[in-house]
Amino acid sequence: MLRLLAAGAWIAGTGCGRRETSAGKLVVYSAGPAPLAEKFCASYTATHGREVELFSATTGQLLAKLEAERFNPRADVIMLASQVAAEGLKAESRLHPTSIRQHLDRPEWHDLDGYYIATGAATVGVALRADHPPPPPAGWDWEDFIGGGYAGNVVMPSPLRSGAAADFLLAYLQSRGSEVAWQNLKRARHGGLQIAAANAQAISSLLTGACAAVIGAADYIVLREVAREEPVRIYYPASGGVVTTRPAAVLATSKRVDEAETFLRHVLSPEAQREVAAVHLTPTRRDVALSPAKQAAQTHDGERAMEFDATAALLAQNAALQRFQDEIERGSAAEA
Amino acid sequence: MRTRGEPLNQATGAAGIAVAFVAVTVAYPLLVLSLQALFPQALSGHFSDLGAGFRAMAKKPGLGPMLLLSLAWGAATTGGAWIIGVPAGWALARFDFPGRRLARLSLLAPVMLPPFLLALAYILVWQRGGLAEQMFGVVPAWMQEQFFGFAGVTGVMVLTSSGAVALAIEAAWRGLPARAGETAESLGANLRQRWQHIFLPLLLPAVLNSGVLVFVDALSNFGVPTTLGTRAHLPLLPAEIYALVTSWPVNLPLATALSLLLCVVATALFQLTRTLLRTTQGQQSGGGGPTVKKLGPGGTIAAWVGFGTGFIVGGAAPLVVIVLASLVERWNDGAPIWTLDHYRRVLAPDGTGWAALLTSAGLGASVATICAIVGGIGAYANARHRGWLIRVNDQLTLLPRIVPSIAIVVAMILAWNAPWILLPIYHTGWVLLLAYLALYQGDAARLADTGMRGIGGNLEQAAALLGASRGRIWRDVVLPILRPALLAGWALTFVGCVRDLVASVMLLPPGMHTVGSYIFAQFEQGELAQAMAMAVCGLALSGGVLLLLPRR
Repeated sequence: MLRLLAAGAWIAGTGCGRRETSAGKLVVYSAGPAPLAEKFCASYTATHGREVELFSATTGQLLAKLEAERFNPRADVIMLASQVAAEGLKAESRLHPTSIRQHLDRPEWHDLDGYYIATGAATVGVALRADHPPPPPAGWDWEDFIGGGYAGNVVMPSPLRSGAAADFLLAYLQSRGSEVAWQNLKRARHGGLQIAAANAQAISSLLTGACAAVIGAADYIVLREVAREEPVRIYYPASGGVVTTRPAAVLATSKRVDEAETFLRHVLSPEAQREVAAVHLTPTRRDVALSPAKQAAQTHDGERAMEFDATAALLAQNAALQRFQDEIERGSAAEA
Repeated sequence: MRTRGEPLNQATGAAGIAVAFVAVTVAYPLLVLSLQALFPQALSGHFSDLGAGFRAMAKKPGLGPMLLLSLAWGAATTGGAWIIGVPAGWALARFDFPGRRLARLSLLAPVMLPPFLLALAYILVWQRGGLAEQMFGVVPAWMQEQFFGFAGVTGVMVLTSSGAVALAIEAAWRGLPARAGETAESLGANLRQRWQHIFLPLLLPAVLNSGVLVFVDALSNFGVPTTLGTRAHLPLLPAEIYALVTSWPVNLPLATALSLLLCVVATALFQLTRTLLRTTQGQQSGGGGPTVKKLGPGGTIAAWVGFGTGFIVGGAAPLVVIVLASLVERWNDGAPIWTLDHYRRVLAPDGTGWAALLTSAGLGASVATICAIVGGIGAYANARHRGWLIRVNDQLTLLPRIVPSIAIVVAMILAWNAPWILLPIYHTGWVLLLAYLALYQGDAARLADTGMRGIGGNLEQAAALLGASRGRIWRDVVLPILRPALLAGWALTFVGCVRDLVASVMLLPPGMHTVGSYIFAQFEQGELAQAMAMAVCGLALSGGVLLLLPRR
């Protein structure tokens, strides 16, 4: 008995003590895909000999965590799945500017003032089962899925959780005009549009056959399944998919700004960028090739992209997300 | 007098330790929660804007229906748990039948299988293209709709909570005054009169108390509504609080206000039953219980069918589904493709899964140890000390029992992030340790209390008279007798920590995972099979500990 107690106390001591001494490590908060973030950290440790503490969650969870930790910030680097979210942090002066942006490929992906850079990008489209009938010659557009003939069979990841879905929602509102877009979404919800918690969860219901289409799906998650030879495909609608960059930034509260910058530079290194491509995201570096699955999907549908103004989207963001939650997510439940 | 005085002083110290423990783990966070709920800027030092969180509540559309729905959910869960639990407890106490021990054991299945795992298992069964469809072809849409709606959320909670109700009823029944029923019967009271005037009033405390616990448990469980209820977008209070704290746009004032509301409702309910019982409860006369009847073959079969169904639906079938799902690579047109990859990934020595298992085991062992020690000290103080400290302790130890766990967790986010906390607690494993201590100290304390009540003070006094030191009395007299209770408390606390979800998910520090958070993260990433493999490993871990527990 006493030995048991002693053993327990020893575990308590060593287990928690180890955490305490880790206060000097670089802390990275990253949105999914978690394996990619883990690889970034592992290769950073391997090259620079410094350990990293990683917290992986969805973009929404990360922003909420930052908010809860306002008085006691710990994260040094934040990597998000939504450019609008990064714009929001920048607007609240919570980011630390860096000079990394110079000499980077795809200048339009990075913040002009150097507050965040993009590690890569996903394109938001529609995920379909592979046995889905082929599109008409003119192709399908978003409206064919939103409020189309898919009653009960369309899923959308919640924009409150998934950064990519949030960017899609805001881009869709911008491109269709706010009221028209809301009407479409409401009609879709009445017709049985389901809202899943996160992107990957929506895709898994597609895999199990629980639904026939996922709108607002980030392509890299679908392509991951395609590479595993699962019977799914990604479709970029006629008016274009939404390119959502994946911003990374140093937080203003970081006490290890230099190391955090080194981490960002590492994420842009050819080695790390190849990992980006390997998970079917578009890498920032143009000298790193796309994954075969992504290459195939883009050749098939063309590299169409919807216009998207992240700065304008930021102003609309809170109201739009709130409205989505109140009128779309809870919409049918309130009427039931 | 010296010999009597000394244990008493020692008891004062013990009471102090017990009080300090609850004060730091539970009372302090709840105090901060209350402050923050009343003054949203309290943590930055501004005590203004009184009740802004509650005003935000009034403005939030759909909040009223959400609260009503949550209350209905809690009530339906409680009702369901009573409908199943009360007859089961009655049958266990009243009748003897072959396999009764097994039947009682089967009620403990939910101790191992937490509600969110049960929910995940049933999702695998009922979802489109799920097991039910694989097995029976087509599952009617209304059935799926019901499952992913109110009925499913309630049903899963009923399954996990009716066992506890049954055990409480059984214990209460056994405590009934012996032969009171028979005496009344011989005096001409009919069945209805006997129930109305003897059994019901005497069983009422157990029924009400277990009901309140089930109710509060439902209202603090976010795992089931966030896994099951999201498809129907059934707005339920715990899931709402979870969403407010963990998704964008975050709304801490509203979350704290809702958490405080939840605390107030739980406390009020608890006080209400207490006063109710004080007026109806008679004297506690000697137990022994009404005589146990032997069941005939018909009754035995009925009992087997009843307990068997409960066990299959609430334990065995979900377990089979979980194991099955963890072994399947994917379903292709109804045909499973088997694999061990999920286990390989979970158990890879340098992977997050293995680390999560180690973290949970380490935290569980630490928390269980601390809880067993403090529980033992507290129980000793309760039994040997009379004074204001004990009365304070009495009130404080109620807190972790009645305050919904999700409220405690929200309180901890605020309390350990406050600007005056200078120690690195929140971003480290310490916060999980504190949270588990706060949430799971109840079992060890309760069991130690029960164990201590059986030990008279005269043994210690005899030892003291013979010149034994305090330490020796503790080591050689109290501890050996208390040991079974402490060990049982240790094991229950350990299992509680390993199956934890709420604290793990909401307080997870960077660079860490626990069994619960790993499962939840995998579920959110859509990797259900991976989640299930971890669930099996977690179950094996807690099952192993329960098996290793020495029998008395």
